[in-house]
Amino acid sequence: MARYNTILAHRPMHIVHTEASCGWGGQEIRILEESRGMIERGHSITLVCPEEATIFARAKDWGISAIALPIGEKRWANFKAMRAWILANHGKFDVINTHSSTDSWLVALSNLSLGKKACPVVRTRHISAPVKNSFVNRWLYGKAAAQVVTTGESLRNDLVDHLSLPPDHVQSIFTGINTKRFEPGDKVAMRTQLGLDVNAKWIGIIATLRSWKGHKYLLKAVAELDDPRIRIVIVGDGPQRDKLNRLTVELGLSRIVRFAGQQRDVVPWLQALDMFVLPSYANEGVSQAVMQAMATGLPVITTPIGSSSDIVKPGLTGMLVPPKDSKALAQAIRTLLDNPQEAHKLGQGARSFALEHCGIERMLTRMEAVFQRVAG
Amino acid sequence: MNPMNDIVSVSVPPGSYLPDAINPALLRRALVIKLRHHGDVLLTSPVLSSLKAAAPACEIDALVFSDTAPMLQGHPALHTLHCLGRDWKKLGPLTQLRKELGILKALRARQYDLIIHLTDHPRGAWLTRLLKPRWAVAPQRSKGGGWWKKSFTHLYRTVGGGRRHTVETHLDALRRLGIRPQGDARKLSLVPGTAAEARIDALLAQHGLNAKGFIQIHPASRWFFKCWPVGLNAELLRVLAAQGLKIVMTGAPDPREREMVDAILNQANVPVVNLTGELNLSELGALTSRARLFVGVDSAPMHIAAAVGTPCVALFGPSGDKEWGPWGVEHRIVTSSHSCRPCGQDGCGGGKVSECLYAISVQQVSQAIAEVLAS
Repeated sequence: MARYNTILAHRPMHIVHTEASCGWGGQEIRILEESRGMIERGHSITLVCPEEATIFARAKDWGISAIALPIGEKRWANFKAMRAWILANHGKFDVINTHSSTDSWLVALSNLSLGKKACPVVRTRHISAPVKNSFVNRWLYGKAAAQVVTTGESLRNDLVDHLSLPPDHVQSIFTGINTKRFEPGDKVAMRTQLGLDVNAKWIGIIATLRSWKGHKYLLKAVAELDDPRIRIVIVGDGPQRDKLNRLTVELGLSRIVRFAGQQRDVVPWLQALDMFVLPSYANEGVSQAVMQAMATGLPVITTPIGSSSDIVKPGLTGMLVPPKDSKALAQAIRTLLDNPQEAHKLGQGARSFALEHCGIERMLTRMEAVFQRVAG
Repeated sequence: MNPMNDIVSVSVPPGSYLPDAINPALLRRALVIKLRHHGDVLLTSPVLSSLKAAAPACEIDALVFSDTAPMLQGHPALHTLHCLGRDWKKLGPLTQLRKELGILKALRARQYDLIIHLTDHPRGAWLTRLLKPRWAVAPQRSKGGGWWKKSFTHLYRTVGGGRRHTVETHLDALRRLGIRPQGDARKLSLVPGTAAEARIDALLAQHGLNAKGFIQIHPASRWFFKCWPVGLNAELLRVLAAQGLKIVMTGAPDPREREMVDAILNQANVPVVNLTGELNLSELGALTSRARLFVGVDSAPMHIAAAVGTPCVALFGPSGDKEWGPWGVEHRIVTSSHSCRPCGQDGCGGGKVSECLYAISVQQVSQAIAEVLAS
């Protein structure tokens, strides 16, 4: 039976992650972040991925041992390589965690041909693309994997519904954030360090510059407010950069908007802010940026898109405004600026909520329970 | 004795201390299993209401024996009522198997996130294992150890010795999950349905009775060791009739219950409206909701009275009034002063006759009735 985030007796495990995709994004960061946490908890981790994958090069930086194996494509040679590796390492690891379609198929078919030497499999599904209800998919998710983990509740529900999987077979364990790294800091020191006006009111947005993130509505709202104290910092890069630059000039905001570009470490930027705004109108799950801002103790204004309302509770941990509504957004910003005490209270609420619900520890404990259950 | 209801409002700080509390917002479909008699099923209705209050988006189903279906049918928090027939065994093994598989298929198609099993019957454990919900809760069991434990994700502890009301024990299943039942959601609920209400209104008109203008007396029970003797019942009728109160007698369509009511009426020889055996359970609910007062013993009709909000005078013998008393409604409980009660036995020494019931005097009961009527 499903034991929901139950802490079982501790037993060190050897967990193997397979990743066929060569890209670099949230999926790969989750694998490395989770692996690092598991190592800290006394487990050992091996990452199996193609040699040309970005994650292979970066794994070292995170202190994770990676093995290069040609498993990037659904081909006979790749199947043989995967199968041979599992056979050669039989008994040396407890569980395999697959992440992309290709490596899931390679591991599943290897297992099928290995009989008693097959290894228990946990499948993690990171993306929300719909899974077709076919016999092979029902087998891949239902039978070939002992447990399926998704990174969001709606992802989980889609899988369970479309493939008619048993409800205890699929769990949602969403990626936590490191609340030790994202914590309130010294605002003045950070502003000095980053060259931001120490006495202004800084509103920040951290997001890829895409239309649906709603940067446009933030700029319009600030133009409407016309408050000399306000400054905006936009962290991130993306396809909309030129458009946003032009809009800034058109709205006469050039002097108060700072485009910071892509940043490797956003912690100092968050710590320098007075409030965080993400007026997105589509394509959100639970925004990592919002969770990070909340953990930093910032009052957050966002929209009820995706599962944001799971973490942003109006009046307790932040504010929600309707999407594509710069007037409502301006109103919300005005409220926070005029009531510093209220803003402080929301920031505190956000921080304690994030500590309790968005921390990486929760993800690790639940993943640990999944692995232990599957490993037997 | 506490004359008002037992629902005590206690202010408890929000938040949960449970490490394995579930998030009710994640619940999409839940199943409540109670395979017992009518009263037991009716006493699960607060579980449905409280779960709905905590998880408004959740579709809540229930699995009960088909004869007890009217107890939950029409419950505002109920989505689908699944029924098992008690008579399936008599249909032959093949038909029984087909019916059991049919219900299993229907239940499996619902893909429950949560199963709440409210008895310690192994059937619920089997079902939980077959339906594979994300979470399942059941009472802790002293016997059957590992297999029972591993069937569920959460087990709740029960208070022994009849010290806790059955409704609270049922709600403990939710408390174990981190859901705290509050306010009116803890009350019983019974919806008789429009057809039953219409029939009762017609019947009352036919007998020249007004709503809230009569007392309902329900002297019998499925278990005769829980009943007050015929002679005392008859005397009570005479006392009440002398006070000019209008009386409606009810009873199940069962030959033994009819016999008992007939014997009472023969001895009493006073004018009453006798509806024994004429009403189904929904109609009984509709009638009771129109009564000024319900007088009876510890039985399903008493719980129905509590569920429709009609004040009760309840006679308790061997069964425990703390565990089974009228829930959430104005009531008086009448008992003898026997030190052995509640013993939970089927009559003194298992002899089907409970002396503690014989020891209750007519004066005690009529005084309790007068008190409730006066309040």
